[in-house]
Amino acid sequence: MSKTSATLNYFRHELPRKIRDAPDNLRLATIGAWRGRERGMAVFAGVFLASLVITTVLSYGVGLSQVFFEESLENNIFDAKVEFNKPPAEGTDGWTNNTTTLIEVCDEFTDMEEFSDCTVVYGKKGIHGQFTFGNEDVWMALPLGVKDINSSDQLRNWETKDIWDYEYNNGPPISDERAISFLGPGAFDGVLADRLSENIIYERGSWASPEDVETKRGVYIPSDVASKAGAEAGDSLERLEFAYTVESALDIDSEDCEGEIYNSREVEHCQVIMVVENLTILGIYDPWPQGNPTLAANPIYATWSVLNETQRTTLVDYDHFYFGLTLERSLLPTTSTADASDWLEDLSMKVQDKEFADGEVEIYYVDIVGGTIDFLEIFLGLIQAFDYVIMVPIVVLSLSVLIYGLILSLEQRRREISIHRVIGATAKDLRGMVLLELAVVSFVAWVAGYLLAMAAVPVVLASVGFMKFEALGFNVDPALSFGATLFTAITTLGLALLFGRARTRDFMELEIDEGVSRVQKVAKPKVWLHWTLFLVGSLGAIDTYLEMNGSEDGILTNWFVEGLINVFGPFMLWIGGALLLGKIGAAGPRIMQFFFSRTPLLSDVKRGLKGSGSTESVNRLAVIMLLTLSIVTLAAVQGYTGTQVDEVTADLQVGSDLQVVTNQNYSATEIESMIQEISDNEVTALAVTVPTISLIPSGGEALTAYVLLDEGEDVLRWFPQAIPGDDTSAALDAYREGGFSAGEDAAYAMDLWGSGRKGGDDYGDILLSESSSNTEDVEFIWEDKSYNWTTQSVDVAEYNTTLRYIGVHEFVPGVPEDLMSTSVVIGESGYRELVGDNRVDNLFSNNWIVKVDGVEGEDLTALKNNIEADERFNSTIDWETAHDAVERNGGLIFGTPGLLSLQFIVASVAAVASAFVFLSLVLNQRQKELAVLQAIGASPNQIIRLVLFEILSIVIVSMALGILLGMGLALSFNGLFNVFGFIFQILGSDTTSAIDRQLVWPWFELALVALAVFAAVVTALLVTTRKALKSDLASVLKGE
Amino acid sequence: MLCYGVIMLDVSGLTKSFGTGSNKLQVLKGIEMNLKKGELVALMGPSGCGKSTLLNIIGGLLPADSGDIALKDRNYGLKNPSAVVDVRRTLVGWIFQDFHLLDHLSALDNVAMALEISGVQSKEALKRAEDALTKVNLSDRMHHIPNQLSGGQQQRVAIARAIAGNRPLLLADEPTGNLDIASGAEVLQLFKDLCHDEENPISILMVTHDPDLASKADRMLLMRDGLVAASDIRSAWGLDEDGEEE
Repeated sequence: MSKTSATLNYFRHELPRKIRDAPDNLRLATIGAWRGRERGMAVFAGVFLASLVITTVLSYGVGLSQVFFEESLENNIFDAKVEFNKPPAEGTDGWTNNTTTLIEVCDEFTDMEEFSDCTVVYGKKGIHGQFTFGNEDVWMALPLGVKDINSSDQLRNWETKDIWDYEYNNGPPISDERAISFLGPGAFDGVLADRLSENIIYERGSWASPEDVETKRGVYIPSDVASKAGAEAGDSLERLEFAYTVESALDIDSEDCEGEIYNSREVEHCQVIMVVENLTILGIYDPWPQGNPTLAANPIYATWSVLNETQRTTLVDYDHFYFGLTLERSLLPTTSTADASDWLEDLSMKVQDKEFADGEVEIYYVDIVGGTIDFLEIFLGLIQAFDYVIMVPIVVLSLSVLIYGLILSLEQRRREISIHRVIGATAKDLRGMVLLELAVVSFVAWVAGYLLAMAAVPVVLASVGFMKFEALGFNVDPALSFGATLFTAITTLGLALLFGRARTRDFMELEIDEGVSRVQKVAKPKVWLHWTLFLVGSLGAIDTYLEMNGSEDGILTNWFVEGLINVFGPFMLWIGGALLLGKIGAAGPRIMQFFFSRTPLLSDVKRGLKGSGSTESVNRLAVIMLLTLSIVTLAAVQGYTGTQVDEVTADLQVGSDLQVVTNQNYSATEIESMIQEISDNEVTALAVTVPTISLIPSGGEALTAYVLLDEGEDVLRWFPQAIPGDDTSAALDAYREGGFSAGEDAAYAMDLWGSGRKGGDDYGDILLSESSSNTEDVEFIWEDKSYNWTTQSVDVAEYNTTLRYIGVHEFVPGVPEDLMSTSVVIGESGYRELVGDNRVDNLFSNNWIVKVDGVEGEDLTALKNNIEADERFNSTIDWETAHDAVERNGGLIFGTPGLLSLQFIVASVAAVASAFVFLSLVLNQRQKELAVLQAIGASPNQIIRLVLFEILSIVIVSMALGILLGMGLALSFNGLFNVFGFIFQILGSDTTSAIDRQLVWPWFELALVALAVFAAVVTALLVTTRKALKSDLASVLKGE
Repeated sequence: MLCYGVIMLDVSGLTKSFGTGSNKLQVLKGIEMNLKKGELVALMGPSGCGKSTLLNIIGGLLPADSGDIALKDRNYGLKNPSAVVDVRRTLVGWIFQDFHLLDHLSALDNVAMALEISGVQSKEALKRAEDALTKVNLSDRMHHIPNQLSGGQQQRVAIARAIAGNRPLLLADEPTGNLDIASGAEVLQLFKDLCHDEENPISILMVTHDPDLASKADRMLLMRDGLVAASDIRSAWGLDEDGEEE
């Protein structure tokens, strides 16, 4: 038959037959799968786990992008900005300064279903093009800059130095001034009013209605400005001066400028002052994180009604005008940033093509949300790369379980396949039969894993610490695209079928082979490769361990090699370690025999244990146990470590429960009673300040010294990384007894041990004792300067003291970390010697760190809000809010706690489930052996002892090795975290990398998982062994 | 010299059925038989007549529904396998068609293991295992694992395992079924030697389908329809006293 006719025959006869038979075959396969559910469980477990993990990882990426997107949207007031297409100029068209027309254009926007609100804004100049470095206007477009405010209220201090300075850290640095934006009536109702009112500080005003704001001539001040000025809602402002920019160029002749030249980064701007009068502060708001650079961040907001018509016209004429728009966000696709980008691009085109004000106005549409997405995609890409990397072990584990489950499951069918061969079934028929059943089980498992993953992802994303979950605040729909869903199917279902096909074919060949020889040809494992992986991977772990314990460079001094090993080492260690240690795990019975061979437990059955670890199934069981327990350990250690890093970060930022800045200096007792009064005496407060003093070490230059008052021991939240050595109380005692520590740069300047200046041993986190050769006494001089009105000169009185050097410090809780390296820290006794008891006993400060007993969580935040609302306080930070800001980072990157929690849960469940399912199958395979033992005289008790000892030895040794490997992995992964930490530091978005990842070893949780696995193993063993003992011995021996 | 006379095994009124209700199948319908000390008896019969079932009940792997088995001083037959561990340990040795050796243990360990689980101390077990393997002519193959031995050698290891515990009765279920003719003949000769040992003769009950093998036994039992139909070689073959067909 020719090839063509064979093909024709296939399509004419074979294919229709197959389609006809498909329902019947499927039904039979389903029945077969149900009947063989015990063996099917292994396949189910493998495919389910792989599907769960792979779908979760992919879906997590989608969810993460939604979370970031939603979070970033929260920072946007305006979703889009619309400018005139070209800068207004006399004689050109496409623009208008007619207020009525401008309002009409706004209405035309809100008539479109895509926009929910619109306001006219007089503020930052237009850029009339893409926000790219090539666009000159990007470097020129100044906001309206606030110059001065006058108020008749003597209590307010609008003259405070630097009050109008503001640092823009988003976009090119074109201005250092606080901006002002005048908003149209659209901003005081609808969506814009909702968004703008959100940050008005509780009890410090409210976002007014269009009528109110017009009547009261309202302005809204950011809280940092309000703090400096001591301003409050309700204050009247007689006059507010701001500048608009008439012209910007590299060089402007001052004679051509009707106002003043403002220089900023080699660009000159001709600015003219404009004045508005008789304003009222209607509210104080908490500044937002800076958003899109085409807008001025955190300006003073004022109603446009305070401008007269001429002023408005002037501002439009000089291009200080745009429309601020909000999108109907419910229409914005949140399935992925790519979908959102497409939607926004379509909208952008639609708006650009639309005619406004009957063609009188030509617009340029600035898509702010789209710009946010572009930035997010770069940042998110890095985060996802990191997150995917840390999920590699669990994906590998799930695929291992899948393959192991398939092997065991197919092994169970060996006899059945043989029988079918004998009665005439062809290899093709048999493969079809096995694969169809496999397909049915795998499909159900894939769907189950997929659905569970979909349900799990929002929970994983909501993780705020290791195994700690809180509501996310917005809905996440982490649905996968068709392509991604297909990918999960291919990597789980497809892999199962492919592997099943290959393994079934092996069976067929093996069956024929066995007629000739009973020895199965198995490829020898590449032990040299396992050793190489293990040893190279171990280098990374050892290096991290040494670095964590005082060594400056560890054993890897080349940063490139260290970086490579940090990235690849964990995986090399894991795979190599699992394969090598798996052999030791499989030899568990022999190891345990060493301890028990002479005891009654084994005396009569020990010979049965000889060579028991050599079987493939036992070896695989040991490897699976190793893999799962190592992941459980890794996830728990890194998870708790990340959680601790987040907590310590908050400790460092706040210092204790609260840190308050007051308007004027107060004593500790006053602060304590003020806080108690604000909380209606519901809390007990203990306040401490960290005074600074300028000290001159003998022969050196002046340094800032931070003073640790004795009360600080109880109030400040100390952690070992902060002080020299790792014993906080010993270090604090040393300060109290006249010791001082130095930051690394200060130690270098003073030529003290520990700066690394002399290389080698000149480095270490050690608390130097009095007998240490590295400690030394240093004499410090304090110059007390006072102005002598009589002599009209500065009098300097010198005081000195000698302090003992106790080592290098890193932080003082609550003190900004950037100054610590160049400073010294001294104790109260040294401070007293220098400044005298009177000054110390009557210490006044405007910055206090406060410990409050009896309040935590949301109550602490509420207390902070109440303190902030009190006019005596300028600003307050609380531990809870500071912790909220970092708690989803897992000590480094957003989402890490969720992924590590997922790893922990999945690996724990996999350990318990695989122990149960696979042990049942392993023991099923050994049913005949157990029957033989009984036939030759073994009692049920002896059988149970033999099996329990053998399997438990393997499991216990493998679990112990797994935990050991997990500890190595946790160390090794610290290196990986450092590499990513470095990358994130470069991006400038990482705030937590200052804190060392000192590993936390959660022994209790690990013991709990180990116990659960142990219990599952014992249960599986007892159930299966009892079943084997109750089976018909004669039938088993006959092989029936 | 044969020492027939002392009844070693006495089976009386043994019945066994499988299944329930309309599916109930009565396999043994009242077996009456005995075995004398030092006797090699072949048990024959058509497939499904209950030979293996009878062997399994005598060997303590299966309980009968009724009847009694007396083996030396021990009476059993109706008890579950777990209740007759002592029978398998001290009275009955098993030899299977598939040998049923433990794959991961050497010949010596296979034999010693059976002794140790019967309570023999390790040292003593090793010595007795070596003796047993020497007795079956495997002194040079003691440390080989089953995969390294031929079928005949494996069966001899199984025989050594069965005899090492000084059990008075061996039950062999088609012991030569998986062996070539020469190996089968060797095994049979070994059986004969064991039964006819002057110092310590043992009894062997052997299920076989091979008439040639059966003809070399001291006596043959024929089972038909769940009953012992003949208890000597002539009647088993359907011959009268004179060797004519009945």
